[in-house]
Amino acid sequence: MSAAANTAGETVRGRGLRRLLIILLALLAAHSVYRIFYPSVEWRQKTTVTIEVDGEIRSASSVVSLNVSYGPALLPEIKPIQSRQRGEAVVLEVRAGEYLFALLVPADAMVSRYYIGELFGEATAFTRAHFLRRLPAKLQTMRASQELPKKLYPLLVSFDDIADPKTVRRVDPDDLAASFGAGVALQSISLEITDEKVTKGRIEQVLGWWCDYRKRRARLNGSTSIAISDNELSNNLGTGAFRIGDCT
Amino acid sequence: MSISPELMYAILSMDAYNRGYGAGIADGGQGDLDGLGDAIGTQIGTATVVARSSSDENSDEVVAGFYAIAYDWNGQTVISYRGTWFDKLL
Repeated sequence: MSAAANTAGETVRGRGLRRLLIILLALLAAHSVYRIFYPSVEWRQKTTVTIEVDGEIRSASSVVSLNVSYGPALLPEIKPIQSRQRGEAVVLEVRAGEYLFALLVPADAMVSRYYIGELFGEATAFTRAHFLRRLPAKLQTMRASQELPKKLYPLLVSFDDIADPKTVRRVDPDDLAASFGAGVALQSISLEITDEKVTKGRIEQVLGWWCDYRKRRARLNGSTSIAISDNELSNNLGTGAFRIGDCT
Repeated sequence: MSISPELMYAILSMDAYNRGYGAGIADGGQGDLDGLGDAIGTQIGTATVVARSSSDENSDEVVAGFYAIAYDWNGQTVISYRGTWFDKLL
């Protein structure tokens, strides 16, 4: 091949690379502009449950990751706010073999004005893109642990038989003694923004049936039917109340 | 005053968007996880909730953005549903 042909080839390649670079820069710029109008924020938060057992204080925590992004509502069916969660419920061993679970609050409820919005005292909360843009600074103000008001408590449950998910029962935060016996009382449930790792593995360690039920998409009473036609707790709770995601 | 079936169906079709996970409005209840509430037996006018789909975040229904609720109204079953959220599929 001649030197002229080589030079021509390199020129064509050079033009191609330049075009590719321009396209990539344009895409990057478009994405940056898109994110200005439609921001996305991710953070980790730690929930800590503290109880008193026979005069001794015990606590357990769990860290979940939340991602909230705002997008264009091009069609009526498209929700402008999208939220995702990773992590698992708080597991607290009250007495040997007896566990208290503070279940996951669904991501969309977590980011609603009745959760984070309530803590921030913002009526509009996540319903506006401008709030998401201010959210990172707001989150920094929540690094100190703060006690949740009772209306924001996660659902508390326990099992009569930890090996049998059908035996799940609701725990009254005002009366832990009714579930665990005299001498047991809830002290607080608190929330803080954290850099700690997302909690993983504790639920599967304690609930030996979790992975099997997750694979079968079964609710805690074993049902896989789409329709739920009673208020029985085991027919209403699924594996997602304890951990979001697949088996580890 | 009796309500026309057409108006009641319109109300119930809208109601599916306001109950269960990801409800469009909230009533400020405990944790407010389910919008206006979707417990079996909940009343909306003269209609009563008799069944619904799961709000569990690991369920196929939620992953697909689907939610359905059934009412008993004047002896007939009315099914109302919403979905699919496109953003859930992206």
